[in-house]
This record gives sequence, C-alpha cells and structure tokens, in this order.
Amino acid sequence: MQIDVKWRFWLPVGLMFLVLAGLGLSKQRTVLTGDTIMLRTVPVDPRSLFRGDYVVLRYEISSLDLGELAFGSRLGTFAAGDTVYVVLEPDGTGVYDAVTVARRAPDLAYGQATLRGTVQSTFGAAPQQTLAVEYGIESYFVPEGTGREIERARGDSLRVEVAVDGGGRGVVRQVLVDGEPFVPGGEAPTPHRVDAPTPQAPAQAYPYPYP
Amino acid sequence: MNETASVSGDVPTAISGSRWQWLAGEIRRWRASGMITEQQSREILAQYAPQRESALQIDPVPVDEVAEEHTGPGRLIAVVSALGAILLGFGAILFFAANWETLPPWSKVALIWTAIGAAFGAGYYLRYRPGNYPRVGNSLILLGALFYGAGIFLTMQIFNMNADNPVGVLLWTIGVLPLAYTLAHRGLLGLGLLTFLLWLGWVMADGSSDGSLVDFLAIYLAAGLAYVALGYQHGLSPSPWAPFGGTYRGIGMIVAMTALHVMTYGSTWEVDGWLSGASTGSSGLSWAIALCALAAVAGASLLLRLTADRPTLPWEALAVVVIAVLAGLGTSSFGGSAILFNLVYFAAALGIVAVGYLNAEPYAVNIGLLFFAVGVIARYFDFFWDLMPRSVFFMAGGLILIVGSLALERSRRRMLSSIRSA
Repeated sequence: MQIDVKWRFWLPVGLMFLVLAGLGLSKQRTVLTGDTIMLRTVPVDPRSLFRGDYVVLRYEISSLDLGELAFGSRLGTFAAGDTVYVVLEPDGTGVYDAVTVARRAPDLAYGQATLRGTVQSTFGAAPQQTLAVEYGIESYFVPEGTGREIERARGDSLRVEVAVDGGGRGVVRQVLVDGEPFVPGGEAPTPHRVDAPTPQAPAQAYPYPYP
Repeated sequence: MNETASVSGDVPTAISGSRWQWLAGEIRRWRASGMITEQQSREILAQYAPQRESALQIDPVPVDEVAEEHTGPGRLIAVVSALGAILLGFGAILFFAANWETLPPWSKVALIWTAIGAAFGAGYYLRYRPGNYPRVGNSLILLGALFYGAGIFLTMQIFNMNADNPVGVLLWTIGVLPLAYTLAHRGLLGLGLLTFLLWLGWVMADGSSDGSLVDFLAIYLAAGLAYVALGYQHGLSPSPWAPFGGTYRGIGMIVAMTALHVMTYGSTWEVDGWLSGASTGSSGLSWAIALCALAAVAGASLLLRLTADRPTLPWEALAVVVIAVLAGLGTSSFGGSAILFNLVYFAAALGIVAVGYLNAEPYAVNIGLLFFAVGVIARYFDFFWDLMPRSVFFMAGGLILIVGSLALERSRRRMLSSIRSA
C-alpha cells in the first residue's frame, strides 16, 4: 500500500499541533474549572534557557512537618518520589494553609482544596518526618529583567493565586503584590503586610490565550 | 538521460522502491569517494527501476541530486540553508523566552502556530512541488520543527509550568521523530536525537540532585552506544532509512566517547577528587539500564547480521556489547577504575578509526583520531603536571603536540586517500 506524501507529511505535523494543543488545553482546563486558592510565597530570580526569566516560588507548604499535621504521623515514612496530597484550608485572611496530608486523593470538606505534590527529599522518619514537596507551581515567568521587582517585594506582601482542579493539579494564575496583580515595570512595590483578597472573589483578568 | 532507462537499451530490472533508494545511496557514496564516475553511477542506476509498492517509500531523488547532496554546491546549499533554519529557530525560542509584556499571550500563541504552519507549508511546497527547491524545503521543514519546540516552551511559559520540568524537551523529541522517519529527513533525526539526549541529562540532573557523576556518565555512555548500535541496525538492510545510520553513529560515537573520556580521569573515581563522581557512589541503576538496553539492541543487530545473506562477524555490535559490559562492571560494585576506562577509551578510539577506515567513512576516522589526540593530551597533563618544572612541561607538551599533529595528519591523510582510492 502506498501512503501519499501528503499524508506522510501532514499527519506527523498534525501530531505536533495536537501535542501543543493538548499541553495548553490540559492546563487551561484547570485554569477555567479549578478552585482558586491563595498561597504565601517567597520568590528568587533565576533564568531558564528556553523560557526566559522566572521567579522560583517557595511556599510554606513546600516544607511539610508531618508531626504537626492531622493524621500526618499515621501515613508511615515517605520517600523521595512519593506522591502526596496536601489538604488546604483558608485562614482568616483568605490564605490557604496545610491542615493534613494523604497518600491518595482525599475527600474534602466544604471550603477545603487539595494540591498534589511530589516528595523531593525527606528529613527524619515517621512520625516526625519533614518533607520537601514540589507541586508544579514553583515557577512564575516574567518579562525579561523584571524578576528582581517581585523579589524586592518578598515578605508578607506577596501572594500567589493558584487554580486547583479536583485531581489536585495546580496552575499559577498570577502573583499578587500588596493585593494587586503584579505589573512588570510598574511602580516598585514596598513590602508591608496586607490582607489578600478572599478566595470567593478572585481577580478575573487572567492573561490566558484559550478562551 | 533518463536515470531509469538502461544504457544498453534493455528493460531495467524492477526492484522495490526502498531497495532502489538504498542502491542510490550506496552509489552516491561510491561516487562521493571517487570509486566510480558520474557516468558509471548513472549507468549502474539505469539498470534498475524502482517500484512504488512500499508503504513508506521515500520519493526517489535523481541520482545527480543525491550525489550532489554530499559533495559540491548541493551540499553547500543544504548546509547554508540548514544553518539559516537553526539560527531562525533558536532566535524564535529566545524571542518568546523574552516574554514581551506588550504581546498578550493569545497573540503569542497565534503567532507561533502561524509560524509553525507557514514553515511546514513552505517546506512542503518547496520540497515536493516539481521544479522547486528541495534543499531549502528541507531546511524549512527543520525550521518548522524548531518553531514547534518554541511553541512548547511558550505554552509552558504561559501556564507557568515548573522551569525544571523536562517534559517539554521530551515532547519536542516525540513530535519530531515521526516526521523524521516518514520523510527520511536526517536534519529532523539529528534534532530528535539531540533533544532526547538533552531530556535524558535533564531527568538525571533533576532526579539525582545528590547523585553521582558516574550515573550521569553511565547513562550518556549507554545512550551513545545505543545510538551507535541503532545506526548499525539502520545500515543493515536497504531501506529509505539506511542513510540514518551515519547520523545515529556519528552522534552516538561523540556522546559515548565524551562520557568515556571523563571516566578516564582518576578524579572521577576518587571520593574527594575534583570531579568527585564517586562521592555518593553509583546507584547501579544506570549501568543496569545500560546493559539491558544495549544487550537488546546489539544482540538484535548481531542476530540480523549472522542471519543475513552474507554472514560476517559484526565487529561493531560486539564492540558495543563489550564496552557496555566493561562500563557496567566498572561503574557498579566492582568500583571504578581509571585504568580500566583508559584502556577502553583508547581501544574504542582506535576501533572507531579502524571501523571508519574499513567502512570508508571519513567522519568516523576523524572522530576516532580527535578523541585519541584529546586522550593523549589529557594523560600528558595527568602524569607530568606535578613531575616537571612548568617551563619544561609546556615546552615538552608543545613539542609533542607538533610532532603528534604531524604524525596524525600524515596517517589521517593516508587513510582518507586510501578510502577515496579504494
């Protein structure tokens, strides 16, 4: 059977477009349908070879002390590479904190959200083990040369708005400085404590390409 | 003259399209090395007519164009246009990496999708429409594949996917390789093989932040050897992908020899050495993967070769297995030994020269000689740096290099001219 050159050419090219669309739409689905949570963060400013300047976002939930979390000490000893689900609840300011962890997707109470992460490294052993966890939301890409602006605003004034779907997958929507969306090249923010917006009223101007 | 018309007026023998393509490739090689003249190449090819029965037959290219691809102006055009595509492609990646705030994300996505479609569309038109420019068309197809990579990184940037996530590079490989095979496009194959190596290193670096240089080297050695074995496999039978053999083997030799070279340093195996590869020890996983993968690939090559029409001892497949086993043992519980890897390294370098000479492949001769020379220089620094006064060290080194380069050039020239006049 002879396959026409048109098919031999355009089928693999079509596969490339499918990969691109799949990559974008899987994330866009989380952005559109996921719950919104707010997390405290501390950024630093490195550079990616292919994707430009970004800030590395470290969260309070990046380090989990199992002994301090409900049921955390009952889960046995975690190892690097294990999947962990962190159950989050908002505090009085609307920022989410970890309340418990699970090895499988947990049933959530009203107002709770869960983030799925991968254990990067561990310290100690159960029941007092501490986990370093990565959630896939540790990078925020910024226009070239503006990473330092966010870094200058480190401290309590920085929040990250994250969309989380039912499976615990998170996508960073935006970084908030003093409660306002970060605008590159704007007025240098000054670090001081502010109350972040509540999760019921997230900012809606998401700069995403897929409507 | 019509290439498929017999010079003697006889009806040409009908052979499969893939077999014809293989023959055309061989004739191109013979003509490039000076074994036969242009007239002879035309006459030989005119004895055969390709049939279009193969499911993935690659369009026959006229023999003069095929031959020109490797020598003369055709090669220059191919190289220059490919270079242009590479510059444009990496320029696009850097453009989107700059993350211009004036361009909203949807416009960047629209821009890159349009660029990918335009590059592939123009490449298709130029390569396949009669009377057009197939070499420039090939370069535009390569450009489309580079734009595709830019599209992946742009999407990951827009959705703030973690910067250390290597999945984008893997998606690049997965997208490029099918097109490389359906078009028998060596540039796309090279891109796919390089992005796969990048992904491999990225995963290793990400997964073993406290890990060992030895693991890293073992994986790259395994990948390089696997490429060599796969290249050997591609060249075994006539197929549209027979020319891929050189691409696989060239990249594989360079990667494997580079990894082996680092293993020749004593510091790689010392706990507190400046390379300190053994400081945390090898997990053993990498060499196990290496052995399994290579045993499978080289074993298959060996079987195919022994059951072929003219069974001969597959030296290259055997060499791949031997190096894999030695490297596996060397990086595992037996403990690494710079002496062992020096023996393997210099034997492999000379082996590559010998294989290049026997197979009439100048690129292999050059790669082998290069790594041999680099190895000699490295050992000179290792052994004499502490033993000699600096002035004597550099003067003696300079003398050795000049005399060595004379000897190298003489033997290289003799081998290459022997290949050409064979």
